[in-house]
Parts: sequence; C-alpha cells; structure tokens
Amino acid sequence: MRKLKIKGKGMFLGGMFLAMVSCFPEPIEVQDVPQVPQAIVVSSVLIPDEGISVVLSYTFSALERGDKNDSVLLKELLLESALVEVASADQSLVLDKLDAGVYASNGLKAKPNTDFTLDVADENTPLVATATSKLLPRAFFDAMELRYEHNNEEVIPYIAYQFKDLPGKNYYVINVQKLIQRNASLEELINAKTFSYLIEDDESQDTIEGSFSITYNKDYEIGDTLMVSLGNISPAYYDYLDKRNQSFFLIDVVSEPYNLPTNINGGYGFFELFVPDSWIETMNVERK
Amino acid sequence: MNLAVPQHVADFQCYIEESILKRFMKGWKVLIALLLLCCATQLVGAQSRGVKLYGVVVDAATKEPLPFAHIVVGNGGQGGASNDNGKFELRLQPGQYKITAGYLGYASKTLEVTLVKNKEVVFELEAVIKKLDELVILETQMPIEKQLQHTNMGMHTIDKKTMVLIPSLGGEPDVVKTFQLLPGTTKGVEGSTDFFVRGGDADQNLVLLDGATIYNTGHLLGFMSVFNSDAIDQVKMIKGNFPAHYGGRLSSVLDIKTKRAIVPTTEVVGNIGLISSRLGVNVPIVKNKLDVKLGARRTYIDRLLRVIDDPDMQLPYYFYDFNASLNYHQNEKNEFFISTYLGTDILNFDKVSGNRKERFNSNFDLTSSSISAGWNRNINQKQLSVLFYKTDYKYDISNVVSSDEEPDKIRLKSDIEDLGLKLRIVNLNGKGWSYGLESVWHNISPSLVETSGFIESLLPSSRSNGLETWEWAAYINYNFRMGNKLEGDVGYRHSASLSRTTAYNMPEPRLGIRFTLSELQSLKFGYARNAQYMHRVSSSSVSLPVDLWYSVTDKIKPQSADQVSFGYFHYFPKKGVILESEVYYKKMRNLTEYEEGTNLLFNTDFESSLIQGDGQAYGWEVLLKKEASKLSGWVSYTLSKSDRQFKDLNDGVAFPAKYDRRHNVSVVGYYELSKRVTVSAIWEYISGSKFTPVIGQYAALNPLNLGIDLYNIYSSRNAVALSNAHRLDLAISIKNKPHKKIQSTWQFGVYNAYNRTTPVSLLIVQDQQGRFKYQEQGLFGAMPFFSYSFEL
Repeated sequence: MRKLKIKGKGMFLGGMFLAMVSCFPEPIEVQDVPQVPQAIVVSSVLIPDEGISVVLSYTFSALERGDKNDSVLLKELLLESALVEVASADQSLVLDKLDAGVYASNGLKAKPNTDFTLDVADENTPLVATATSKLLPRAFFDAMELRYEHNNEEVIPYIAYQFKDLPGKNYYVINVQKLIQRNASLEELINAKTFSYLIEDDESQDTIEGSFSITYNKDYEIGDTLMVSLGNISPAYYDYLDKRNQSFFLIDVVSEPYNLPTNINGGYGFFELFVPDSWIETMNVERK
Repeated sequence: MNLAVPQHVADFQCYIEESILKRFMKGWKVLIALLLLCCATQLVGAQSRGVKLYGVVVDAATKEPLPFAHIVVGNGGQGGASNDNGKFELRLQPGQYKITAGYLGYASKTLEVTLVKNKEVVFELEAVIKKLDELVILETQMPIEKQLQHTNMGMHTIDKKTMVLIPSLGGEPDVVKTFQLLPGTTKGVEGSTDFFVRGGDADQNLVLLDGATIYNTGHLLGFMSVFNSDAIDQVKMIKGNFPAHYGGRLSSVLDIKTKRAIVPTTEVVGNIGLISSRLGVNVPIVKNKLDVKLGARRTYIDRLLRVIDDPDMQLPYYFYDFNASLNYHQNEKNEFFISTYLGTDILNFDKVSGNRKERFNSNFDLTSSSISAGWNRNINQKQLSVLFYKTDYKYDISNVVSSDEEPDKIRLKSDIEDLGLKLRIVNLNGKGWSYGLESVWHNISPSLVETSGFIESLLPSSRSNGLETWEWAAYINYNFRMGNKLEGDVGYRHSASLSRTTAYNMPEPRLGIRFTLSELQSLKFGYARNAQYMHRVSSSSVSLPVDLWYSVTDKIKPQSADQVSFGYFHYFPKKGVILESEVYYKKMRNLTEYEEGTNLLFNTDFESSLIQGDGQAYGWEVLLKKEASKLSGWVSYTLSKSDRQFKDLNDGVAFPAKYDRRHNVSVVGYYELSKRVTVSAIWEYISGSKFTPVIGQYAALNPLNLGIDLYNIYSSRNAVALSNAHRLDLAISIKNKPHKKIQSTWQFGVYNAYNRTTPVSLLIVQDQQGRFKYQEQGLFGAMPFFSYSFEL
C-alpha cells in the first residue's frame, strides 16, 4: 500500500514534469529559402566498339518532388529534346535521341589520348552545357578473382586483382556492382550503389596487384552475379569518385556539406570517357 | 647559444629539433630579462616611501568583500580602489588622515586614522537599500563611477544577485546565459551555454574557474551551465582589450571566482528546482582564519521517472557537480586556498530486444574537473599571487549491440589534461607596473576509437597520436596617468607554444586608454592582439560537448586576432542611468574548420581534415542601464557582422559566420512590487543564425552505368538565415518574512511565455495535399518553472 502511494506521487510528479516540458512551439513555415536554379546534368557512357551515349537530365529543387514518386519525377527530369554534339580534332558527331534524355551515336572514333568536347543545347529551355574529356588508354585485368567472406551473418564480396600499370602517371578505378534485372524498378536502380575502389599508381611498379572487400553494403548474397570493371581515368574523375565514395557514409548532422565536383560548365554530373575492362563473375566461392 | 634550460624542458628536449628550441627560447631570453629587471626595480623602489595603510572593504552584513570599491584620502587628493578581493593598500606619509570608502548601493564610511607605522583598517559598509540582494541590478558589480574610470573596453561583472533574479530555463540561475544578455555576446542554439563574442567562435572564450581553464561550460548537452550559482562569488567578462595577464583565447574572458571570504558561522544554502536541486554548506574551522565550503547539485528526472514502471517512460540521464574549497587567511599578508570542481553527465541506455536475443547498450560519460591551489602574499604595496591548477575534460561514449555472435561495438574516447602555473605581481592600488608568468602543459588524446564486430569492418579501431603542447606566456603592464584627463594601461604579453615537432611564439601588445570628458562622461580606446594555441573544431551544423579540441601542430597554426574598439560612456545621475556605446573591429587569422565533405562520424584522422582561414568582425554595441531603484534593468543592442574566408571553403569566397546575427536586442527588467515580492522579465530579439541547406538534387548514372545516383546540391556556405527569433520570459520571486530564521525565496516563472519558436533547424515536410514545404523547428515552447531556495 505504501509503495503504491509513493508510486502514485511519483507518477503525478513525472506527469507534471512531462506536461510542462511537452509544450512544443508551433513550427514556423518559411518561403524564402533559395532553390537551386535549373541546370543540365550529364552522364556519359563509352561502350567498347559500339559508341557513345550521353544521358541528360535537369536538376530539381528540394521542394519539387511534391507527391510524385521518384519514377515519375525522374521521367519528367529527362531532357526531351536537345542538340548534343561530341567533337574531337578530326571528328564531329551529332548524337541521336534514343529515348527521353538518352542521346547516342555508334560512329565515335575512340582513339586513345584524344580530347573530346561535349556541347549540349536544350531545345525547350535556354540551358546549355559544355565539357571536355580526354580518352585515356585502356587498362586490362591480368587476373581478377571474386570470393566472398562472412562477417557474422553478412556476406562480404572480396576482390583480388592484378593488372599492368600503363606508362606514366595513372589513376585507376575498379567498379563493382551486383547485376540487376533489365526490368529493375527505379528504386532498385537508385539503390544499386556501385562501389568504386580507387588506385593511384606510384610509377615504380610494372604490375599493380592487391585486394579489397566491400563492407558498406549489407545486401550481398552467395550466388550473386557481380560486374567488376577496371578503368583508367582522369585525376579529376578520380577526385569525383573519391568524394562520391565518402558520401555513402555522410549523415547530414555529422558531416560537412559539400557539392560533388563536376567538369560540366553550366551544369552538374561528369563527362568522362574511358573504355573499361569489365568482368562478370558469380560469387559462389568462399575466401579461405 | 648558452641557455639555462629547466629540467622539465630538458626532458622534453630530446624529442625536439634543436632549431625549434632555439627559436622558442630566443624571444624568451629578452623578455625574462626584462621582467626580472622590472621585479628588482619595483621591489627595491617600494622601500622607504612612507608607511602602509592597508585593509579590506566588506559588506557589513555578509562580510563579503566588495571589489573595486573606491578609497579616498582626505578631500580626494589621493586614493585608490579595492582589488578583486576587496583589498586595498595605500602608501602615505605618517600623519592623521580621514579615509573614506564608497561603493554603489552602500553608504560611504569615513575613518579617522593616525598613521605612525603600517596600519590595517576594515571598512564595513552598510547597504543603503534594504533589499539590496533582491533589487539592485549589479549587472556590473563594479560601481558606475568605476565603469567610467577603468580603461578596459567591453568589461562587465555580475554577481549572484543578478543571476538568481532573472528568469531562466528550468529556473536554474545560469551565469553564462546571463552574459548572453549583454551586448556583443550572442548565443548558439537556443538554450545552449555556447556563446559567441564579437563575431568570434565558441572556442575563443577563455573560461576560468578560480584560475583554471574550463573546456566544457555545459551540462545537459550544453543546455545548463556547469557553474553552480551557490558557489560563485564573482564573475567578470572582458570582450575588448584584455589586460595583459589574460591570454590564450581570442574573443573574451569569463573569469569566475568562487567564494573566498571566511564565513563567521556555519551557513547552509539550498535550492529545489524543476530540473535539479543543489545544496551548499560553508563551515568555519578556525574563526576568521580557516573555513571549508562545499556545494553539490544533481538532476533527478531519472529518479522521478523510475517510480513509473513503464520502461518506455524512462530517461536514464543525469548530471551532478560538486564544488569544494578550503580557504585559509593566515594573516593580513598571506592567504591560501584550494578549490576544486567535478562535474559529470551520464546517459546509460540499455534495451533488450523482444526475443531477448539482442541487447543494445549506449553509454555516454562526460566528465570535467579542475583543482586550483593559490597563495596571495602582500609585499609592501604589492601582491604576489601564485596559482597552480589542473584541469581535466574527457568523454567516453560507447554503443554495444550484443547477441550470440561477437558484439558490434563502437567506443569513442577523448581526454584533455592541463597542468598550469601562474605567477603574478600587482600593485594593490592597481596603478604602476604589474607583471607575471604563466605556463600550462596540455596533454591531449583527441580521439580513441575502439570497434568490434560489423562496425570494425566499417571503421577499424584506432588511436590518434596524443598531443603534448607546452604553452608559456610572460607579460608586463603599466598603468599610467597623464594629468587629470588621461589614464591608460599599456601592456605586453609574449606567448609561445612548444610541441614535439614545432614551436610558435607571438607578441601580444595591449593598450587601453581613457579620456575623461567630464565627471560623467568618458571616452575609451582599446587595442589588443591575442593568440590562441588550442582550437575547438565543431561541425558547421551543430556544436556538441564532444567537439574536437586540438592543439597547434606542424599543420595547425595558432589562431590570432587584432581588435580595436572605441567607446563613449555617459552617466546620468538624476535618472541613475548609464549609457555605454562601443564600436569594434576584429581581424582573426588561422581560424580552424573542417574541410568540405568531412565525415565526422567515421573518421580517425581529423587533423588531415582541418583547414585554416581568416575572419573579420565589426559591430556597434549599446547598453543602457538603470540601477538601484524600484525599477531596474537594462536594454542592450548589438549591430554586428562577422564573416570568414578560407581558401578551401566556398570556392575561396568569403561567407558569413554561422552565428553572424545582425541584430541582437535584450531587455531585462526588475520591479519591486513590495519589500518581499519582485517581478522580473526578459525579452530577447535575435537575428537568425546562418546555415547551409540542401537546395536541390540531381540524378546521374552511377559509375558502372547500371543504376542511378542521387546527389544533394547545397547552397553556398551559410547562405541562408533561419528566421529571427524573439522570446519573453517572466518570473516572480517571493521572499518569506525577514525575521524568520530560515530565509527562503519561492520563484515561479515561465520561459518563452508566448510560446514562440526559436528556430534551430529547417526541415522539409509534406502537407496534407502532398506538397513539400519548409518548416523551422524549435526546441523549447512555453515552459513553466519553479524553484525554492533557502538559506540558514
């Protein structure tokens, strides 16, 4: 009985305290937060022996999503009609529109150490974007091995690699990602985060070899098929990918804000031409 | 170079390049020689200049010393002022004198003194206002006349009476938040004890408790100051030209002293509040010679909620702090004290999953402590002060998820330890030469990370290299007077730091000049250069108690600032009002920030993420205050601008500081309804702080062209301001009848009376129609509070 009385008083006092502190102020609605000006976003793809394609979209403001889902929004953001030109010293190509936002050509002469310029003019807005990129010599794996490791219940891909270092100072990327279905949903596409392992050569070795594990993503399973791709990239793109890697771990409150670097004048994204050496492997051997 | 190197330097020297030590010692040799010459000259010169009249000015009722009381000999041809401890010393020729002591709010007292040899007198001044402790707003404990007369710009003192009268968050008197109501001082997040002075950063404030540096000023994640108001005797803040004996920070000094006066009888004071309660006991051990003072405080919401059996209703957080001091007044020449502080915040959260397979434990333990031991000795007309102190500030945060497998665990630890020594010689009348030496050893373990399980694969365990830095300073100051109009302080401080790999030293000239226009008006000018060898680096979005403290290294250079200020002071005696108006300009160098994109969570190499740049701040401050009447209070206004420029931030373009608040207004008022009842109010208006929001996004193909990446687009740095905020706090204090043995006071009040949001963050929310919109959220709405304090 005595205990009950004490508890009753305690509950009363606790309730009183909570009542006092629970008077939260009404939030203030604000209108004058600046919005990002619309700009063109560029992604480029160089397909060995097939050609080039460029994907173009618009930036969108933080409030623009409204009640649209990501799929609807992204479709609206693609550039419906644009003049897209890729040119080098001995070639100039106007890319054909394959689909909304996708412009391509199979006539590109992908000669190493050639500088290419990209010019984009949106036909529905006054927006333009330009960029340049040097096509660097292609690097090839001498050997690549895909295994998996266990960490508690997690499956962790493990990649061992070996390739010849190209002459001069070079920057390489090994991109790894689980293959997704052709009819993957937009959500799956957004969540298919490529892991980019970056390598800067030291110019003293003929062969570069090493290994790494992918620990940030818990979604791997034994039997997954992964694409592992080696590319010889520019220092600017190396920096871009480095910042992108860091962004996976960023949480707003405990991270410093920054915008990813870009080489697009008047826009965002990156125009980088490199011919990757891509391997597709199934992850069904455990690393001992 | 043939230098006599102390043993502890020699031990350290083995780590140091010879050239570094030489560079460090070069500047010191000249300065130490200069100081020794001054000491010798002054001590010899002090002989045979008449006889000494010394003593103390105290409150007749409480025996508390009255600092800065003025002492007048005869009709005013000679005189001086009491020091921080109420003590004074004059040198006069033998003869008969009438000596008068005066202090604002007290009746002046005149003593007839026959001087044949050295003589001690005690002035016990009677308060002229009966309810002095309730009503007199000693926002400056210094008398108004002294405010016109001293030469420091932007100097304020407050005492406990002010703190306990004004409304406060949770009803807990808070020294830091009281200072936030003064011009030139702005706050960080609502309710936080972080403060920003004249456009500086939060780490640029030198906070001293009995001479020891305090690194963390806040309990409760910064919402309540660590200083127990029952233990405090006097607080002084300087934001203009620091006197030469202060250094190590760029923007302000908050010098807090606990009670020193020996109590005649045992005193018990206490307070029961909404958030916490405190109790203090002051006990005389040897009459008029030795006493001990103890004070403790603790929150109890964790205990209160424990009686509710619902595990979801628990708040496993509490803090406590403890102050103790031992004071020994051996005789009129020697005083000793030992003072210590310990404060701890503890959060221990333990949760077992429904199937009892997993257990989550989160533990947060933040401890701050200090101990100071001091000796004051009066020699002729001078006082030698020796102070030894040790400060420790550490935190230990762990999160563990236990299951049948290896536990996933992350533990973060950090520790700063200071060992310091200060020597100072001053004239008791505050005139002429004063000089001193300071040395502090910083031992910093900035970040220890222990991980296991899955977390280890993300973030390997690591231990940052400990940093050891030895900081020195020597200073000399001369107070001069030219005619009746011009008085000044010219000072020079030379500071230096020495670590295993590098050494820095910096000259720090100081100047303060007062020109008297009339008895009621004065003009002041101040200049100071300050150096800072310890940096606190915060996230650009929020400051936390676990922010990184870092000392200078090869890469991280000392911060420095040059500040000039100019002020006009006018006292209107008929209205009891003083007007202070100051303008200032401050140029800051080597301010420290994290580079863009730094991950503050999964990072064990902070130093490589630190970058340095410059800043500047300027502003105009006005303070209009009325003292010692039924209605008292002050109005303060600050118009200011503060910006930063870093080569590696914001594309090298200058940007506003986070707490660049253009307008800051505080209105503080007290009104005596009756002899026992006082009402008080605070109204604040403050421009919104700056931040860097996400203003858009874009989608791009991922590097394998097998998916889509979504990226944020941020505005330029600190380009957006939160909404301006205003808030009204009200309180009523009711004392019991004065003849009662136990003197008690009830205080009731409400914080944020009209429930207005003070924005702390900007969120994107979706309305009922599915549209997104921006909303600013606040922390504290209308919050009633009460407290009951007693004294016997």
